[in-house]
Amino acid sequence: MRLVFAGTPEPALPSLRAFIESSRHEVVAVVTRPDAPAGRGRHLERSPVGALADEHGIEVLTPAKASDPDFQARLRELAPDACPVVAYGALLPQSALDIPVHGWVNLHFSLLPAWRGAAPVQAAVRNGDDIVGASTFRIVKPLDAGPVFGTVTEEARPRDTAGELLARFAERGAGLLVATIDGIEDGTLRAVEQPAEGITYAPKISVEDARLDFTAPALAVDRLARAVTPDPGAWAEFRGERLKLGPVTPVTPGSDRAPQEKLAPGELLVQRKQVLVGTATTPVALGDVQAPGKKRMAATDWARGVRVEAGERIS
Amino acid sequence: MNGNSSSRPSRPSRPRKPAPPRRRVGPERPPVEDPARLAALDTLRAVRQRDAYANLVLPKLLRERRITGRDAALATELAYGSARAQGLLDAVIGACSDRALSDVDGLLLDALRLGAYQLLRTRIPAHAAVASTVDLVRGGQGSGAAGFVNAVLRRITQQDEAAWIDELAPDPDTDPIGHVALANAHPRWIAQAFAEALGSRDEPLREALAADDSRPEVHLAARPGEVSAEELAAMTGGEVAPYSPYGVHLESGSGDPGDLDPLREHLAVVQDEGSQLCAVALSKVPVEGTDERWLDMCAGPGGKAVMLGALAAMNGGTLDAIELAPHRAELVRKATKGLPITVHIGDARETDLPEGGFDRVLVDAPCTGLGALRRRPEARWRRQPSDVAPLTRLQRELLTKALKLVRPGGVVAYVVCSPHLSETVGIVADVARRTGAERLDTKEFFPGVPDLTDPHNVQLWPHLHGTDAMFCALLRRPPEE
Repeated sequence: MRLVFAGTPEPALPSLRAFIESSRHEVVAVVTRPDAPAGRGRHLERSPVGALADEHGIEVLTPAKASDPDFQARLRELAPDACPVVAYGALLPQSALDIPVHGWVNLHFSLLPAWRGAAPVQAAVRNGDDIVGASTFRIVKPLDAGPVFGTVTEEARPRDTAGELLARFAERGAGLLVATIDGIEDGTLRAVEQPAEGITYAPKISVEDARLDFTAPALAVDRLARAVTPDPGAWAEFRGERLKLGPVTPVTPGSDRAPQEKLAPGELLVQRKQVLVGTATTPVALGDVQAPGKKRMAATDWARGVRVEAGERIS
Repeated sequence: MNGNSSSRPSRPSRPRKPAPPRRRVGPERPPVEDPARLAALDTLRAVRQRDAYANLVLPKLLRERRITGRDAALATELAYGSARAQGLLDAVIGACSDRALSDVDGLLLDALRLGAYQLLRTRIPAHAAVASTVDLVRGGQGSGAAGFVNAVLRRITQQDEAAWIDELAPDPDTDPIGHVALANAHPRWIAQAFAEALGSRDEPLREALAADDSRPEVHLAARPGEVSAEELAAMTGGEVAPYSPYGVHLESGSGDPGDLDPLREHLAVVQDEGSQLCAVALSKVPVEGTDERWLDMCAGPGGKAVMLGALAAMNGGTLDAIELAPHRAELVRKATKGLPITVHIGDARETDLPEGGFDRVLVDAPCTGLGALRRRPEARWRRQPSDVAPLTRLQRELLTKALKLVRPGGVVAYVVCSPHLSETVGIVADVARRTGAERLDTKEFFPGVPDLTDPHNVQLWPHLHGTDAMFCALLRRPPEE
């Protein structure tokens, strides 16, 4: 089929690669978010999807809005049979949805109707979902509400961060998305309406949301830290400054690593091989730590450097 | 050629002693690299000199100067905070200056307010607040002015906000309203108006003024029929609002909401949750007979017109929208694109639209705006008690006309973003008595909203509902005998 692929960040790349390598389909153009300022120099940078398309000499469309008439005119000229979408990052108006013969087919990183919205993987980690997955569905106007073609699932691993999970499903989802487009072309695939029950939403996580709250139970602190790793990254305040934190590890009560004394929420305890922080339940051990203007380092090195005093807290 | 030229300076046998640093002459100094504070200062100046609105000036400055991220957040906090707290800041500056405030040059006063705000109401360290303000003044006005600003700000640092309020505010035992007004940076007359509307000069008044003095969240309204509140929350990272079925709250300081996709795609608008509730309430009142033609009598800039137009469209109806100012009528046209709306330019009191021609009419009347001071930083110091009387005359005429435009049996919503009794209860009671309109149980159409005391009139409050202090009363034109 003639495809126009829409996507923007890294997790869209395995799918785009799979279509470029596919012998059945031809990617005639990609649609991606406009070049954005990046890095210290704030120079304009192509999105990962745009860059990969450039490498393969594929036309790149970067409309500021998908409702832009010039963009839609070009899309009509390209006459795609279908438009696969992975994390494009902008809304599609009905006038754009109507252009491809078989519509727009989205790879979404959740088991729909769970976690509609921008941050499904983060929401799954934060909520401790047992089964995680990805779905392909036909895009309709309401957000992530279209009928589902197929899913891939697996059991969540207890130490997964959102970044790791997303990387895994970006690969597995690419296979699903290609299979979905194949099935649509063959006429062997029928989409199934999403159930009305079990709809949940997963809004984008802001930097403010990524602040760890040590008055919560260790389980919740651990899940939030993994959900916001690597992006936007967990943090807390120490001596009035923002301290970035890698994932944390809950300490099993009664294990060798468990401290003798009870720690108050946020209270730091520096030991030879670990730095513990109190929560509402059992303490958590800090992983990597990054102070403003410093490199990432192991929490024990950081604690030695700043000379944490007895009873000091992070919050 | 003789290479041993005598013009060549001989090398000194000992290194020279370093010269003492040269004393600076005049105000010349390299430009201050503090774009955030400079933008805040320029905003305060525009507000003072041109009666500009801070919340229109600052975003434009930030865009033009490409100030983003933390600098933009700082500029916003300082500009809006200083504008909001102006009366309190002036009282403290006055106490720390040997000149009368009226003798202080306007530009210096702006800078002093900016500095005082940082000292009293932010966590910026005192030395940084003083030094950065002095630098701004030295860059613009020279070292004499900088010395004066430095001296005043240093005196301010000697106490914190609470101690200054203790020293400067009226005695709470003899003048409780005056005290709580200064402590929460409100003019006394506005605190008095709030006290009358709340029926209290104690804790509820303090809470209302404190909530009014805080930075509000941004409220969005999902366009009915296009997107649900849950979808909008998922798209924007906001929270579904507690009362409005279409509302979403965003944390303040999360950037320019106009940049959000759903707003650019006209799926949502920025609108206080209280405004949404009033428009929705009007749409909910049962009417017998036809329910096709709705009217928004004071439509600019178009927030409620979008809500009503979308609700009317879902009902198979249409909306007429009247707006006096042509540029605001244009805003209404833009905001309501794609909806079955006809925009009319003119004075709603003299419109030639057919009397008795409408099933539902909204009068979102021009008012003092005392209920929306949170969102208009400088407004509380600009409004005067004398603004109230001419507005009440206009409000009375608009509501009277609305009750003529609505058909017998149809319903009118009277809405103002003010809790001032002369603009609210006073108008409704008077017009209802003179026209014979029936006052409906308005509270019933605000389901789930707590702390509503008067059944006929709904008064929302920032400290109770997280909304602007909106007032709404629903009236029905009596059916013809």
